[in-house]
Amino acid sequence: MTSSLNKTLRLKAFIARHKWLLGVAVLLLLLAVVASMLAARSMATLDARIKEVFDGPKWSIPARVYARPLELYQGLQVDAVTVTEELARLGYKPAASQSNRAGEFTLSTAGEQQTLKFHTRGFKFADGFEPARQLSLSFQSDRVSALTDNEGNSVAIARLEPQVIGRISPAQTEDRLLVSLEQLPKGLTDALLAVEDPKFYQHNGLSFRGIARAIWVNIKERRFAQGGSTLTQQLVKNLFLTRERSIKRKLTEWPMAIALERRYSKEEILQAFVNEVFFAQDKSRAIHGFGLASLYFFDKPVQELELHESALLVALLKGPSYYNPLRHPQRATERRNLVLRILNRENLLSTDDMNAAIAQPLVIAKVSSDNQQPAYLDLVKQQLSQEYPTEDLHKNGLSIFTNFDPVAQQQLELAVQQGYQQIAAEKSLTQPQIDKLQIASVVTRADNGEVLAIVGGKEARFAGFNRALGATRQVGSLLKPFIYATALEQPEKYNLATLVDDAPVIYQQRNGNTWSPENYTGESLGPVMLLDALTHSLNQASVNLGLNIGLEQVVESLERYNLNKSIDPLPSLLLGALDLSVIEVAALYQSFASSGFNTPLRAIREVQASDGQLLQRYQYRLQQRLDDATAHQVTYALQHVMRAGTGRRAYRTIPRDTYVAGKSGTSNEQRDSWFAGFDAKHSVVVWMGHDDNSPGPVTGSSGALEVWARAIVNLGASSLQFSVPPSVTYANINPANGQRTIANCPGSVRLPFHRNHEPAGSAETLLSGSCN
Amino acid sequence: MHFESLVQSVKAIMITRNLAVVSICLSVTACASKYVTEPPTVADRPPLLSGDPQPPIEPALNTPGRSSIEPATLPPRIPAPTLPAAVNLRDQAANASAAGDHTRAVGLLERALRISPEDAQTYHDLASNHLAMNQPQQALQLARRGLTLNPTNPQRSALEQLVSRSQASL
Repeated sequence: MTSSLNKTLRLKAFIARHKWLLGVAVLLLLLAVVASMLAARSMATLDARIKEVFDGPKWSIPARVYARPLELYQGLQVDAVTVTEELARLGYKPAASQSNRAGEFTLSTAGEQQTLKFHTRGFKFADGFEPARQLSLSFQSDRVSALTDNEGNSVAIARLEPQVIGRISPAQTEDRLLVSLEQLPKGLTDALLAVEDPKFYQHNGLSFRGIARAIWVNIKERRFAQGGSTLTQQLVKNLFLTRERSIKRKLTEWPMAIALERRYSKEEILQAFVNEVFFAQDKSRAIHGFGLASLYFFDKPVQELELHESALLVALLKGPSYYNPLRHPQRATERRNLVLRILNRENLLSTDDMNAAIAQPLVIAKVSSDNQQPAYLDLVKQQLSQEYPTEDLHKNGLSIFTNFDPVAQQQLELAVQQGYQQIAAEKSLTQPQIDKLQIASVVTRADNGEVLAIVGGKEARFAGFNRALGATRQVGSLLKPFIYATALEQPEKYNLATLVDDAPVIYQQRNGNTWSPENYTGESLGPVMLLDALTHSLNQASVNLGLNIGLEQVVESLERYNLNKSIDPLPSLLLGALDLSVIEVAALYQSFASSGFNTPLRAIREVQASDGQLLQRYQYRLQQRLDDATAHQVTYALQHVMRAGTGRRAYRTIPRDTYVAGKSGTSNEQRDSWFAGFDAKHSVVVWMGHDDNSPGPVTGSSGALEVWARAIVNLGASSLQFSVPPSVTYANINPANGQRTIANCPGSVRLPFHRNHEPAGSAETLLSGSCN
Repeated sequence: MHFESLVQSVKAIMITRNLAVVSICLSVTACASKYVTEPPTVADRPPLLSGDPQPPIEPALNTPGRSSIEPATLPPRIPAPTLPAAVNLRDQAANASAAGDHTRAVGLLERALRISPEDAQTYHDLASNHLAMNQPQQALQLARRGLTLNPTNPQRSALEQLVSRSQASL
């Protein structure tokens, strides 16, 4: 008792003597509390930052633009070569014998019949999932005669996956194609872990062996050279931190790696890693993630990678630039083989399989798919920008499904090439003249206005000024059919046999000046039937007709087609003094091609969010513009232009039994050479001329027509076949006076009319049968 | 009003013009022969004076069949048979439509039209889905387009019914 009292007294005395000690103790305690609070707070901040990035969209992914998927079915008009080329564009490979893997095909021929067997990859479309399956296509005389699955059951319809034709991204951009861990081949995951982080499933974010090794290397080399990073640390570094190497960054990296591991599973971290990691620089585009790297280096989805290919991708991680297989194939091969040997050492790969993989040559496909179809992509962007902010397109990984048809594009580009050759030969053009002559063209589906192909300039695959969308040029006579259609819409006043004066015109303008256009030849023909005036594109007859209808009414009529332009009612309009782009002309002619219905041109079918949700469908829209009788007569007149008028040169190229409709256009001094027209399946517009609007070497009929006719033929030249609508009646006409006559009178022609509005004939002729 | 003054001036030179026509016709021999050749070979009519420059066709490049007689009217339409694939899609669309998923039905029907574009039945189905989606203007136009495609009699009356129902909903 005494002793305890003594102790207390001594302590009190001690404190009394060293009062400052108490202060220090309290201070230390406080400091400790504050420090731990600060540490907790900074951990909480780190944790919040990790959560924000990791749970949100981790990356900006540019919108991907897809071509139309090729639909396959019995009766489809296509040959085996075309389908095989489509498969090749999608990265399908000829199968090794007896192989049956997704992304492979075999083509065999037995007598008349060709059979194409292939294993599709499957694709999630907006209207449902297209399963991966083995299919067999039989062809007979350029048609699909049968489509069956691997059990021989007939398949009604199958879709190949659509080809990526470009992406919508800012100038400098990261790109990636997200994959899930299940999509990775086992060999790839094995190699990745064995080489980069063997203890991945054991550590808590940091590997102390790795750190120890790194410290040793750094001391040896006297600089901060190695980080001894786990996959988790590498992910933290790429996803959250700047690229510079410093101790300070390391000190943030460690707690972050630990925090990441605490919050997320190993699988989530690994999945983020495989999508994050950098592989290559493709011009302005950085290739990230195994999904895109697989497409970039091997032109196939990651699921289809063979072991030696997986090993190469893993080999690249150590130094994507140093081991770049395109620039340093030797280094890349050696490191790939090292990866394979590590797999073998870790008992993940048999020695035989290792040797087989090592024996594989380094085959790099390198698909530089940056804007493969720049001209079409311009139209897609134009149509998208009306509804989607640029940021959404650059960042949110949208999928844009378009109507782009790679086969039609190929055929159009071929037509351009053939057309230039012929024009150059026939016009004896010099090389500078050929170089200066530019071109733009648009192909749409005749029935529904889907835009299939675009050429924006002579070098079709070069990104640059897109003349099809960006250049507005004077359309000349291309406009005439719309004036004639306006007349034909008034059957009580006009029909194809109505006589119109091809005579000099003197037009008093409001400003007191007079305007008197001349025919191309300087001569006038006198009264001619409407049909002949259009067929031969007579200027004076067309002006007289237009003035007779009334300028205001012509303008009003024009503005009711697919044309978002206000037009000045000037008389020169009647001769086509109107500047339009190729795509605008295509929109105008679409109404003729689709039987008198305005059908807006559409590049896009659907927009899908990155999670596959359908955001928008661009529906087939139409609005009847011409009654069916007028539409029928316009088509009749335009096919007559092709048979007998300014379009007839096209039949040097187009088979004579094929009916097509079209019209040429030439502006003053041949500054612009145009041709627009359609067959049963396609509507095509071609413009040729000089960028500086100087006079060119060709007219509509000697320039653009040549390319147009070849495009029609290359696209399959499908003859117009028209049923005569009940509202139309055909009658025999004497072209000399536009009067009705009887069938066997000399020179009589049979023309379509609005029922009950056929021209009169002399009673004498019609009753007695004598010719007038 | 401009036209009337124009007519006056044109009338004044009418006689000279008529003479000019005659002389042009005489100078172009084929112009006269056109009305005596029986039947007319449309493609062989001579190039008239043209408002749009027309290069001559080099004889060497003429196809041998060039002088053959061209039919005066467009060939009659041979209706393309609707392919089984289009029928299959139309059936799928009917199921989607019955389940109330008209957006999907429209997508499927548009695919069917790409395969067999001249099928009045598909236009009918597309129109009725648009009507169900409360888009009577689209429905009306689609039904009208269907009517231009040689519908069978039952199809015609179904389309006409759709036209009047759409008009009633406008």
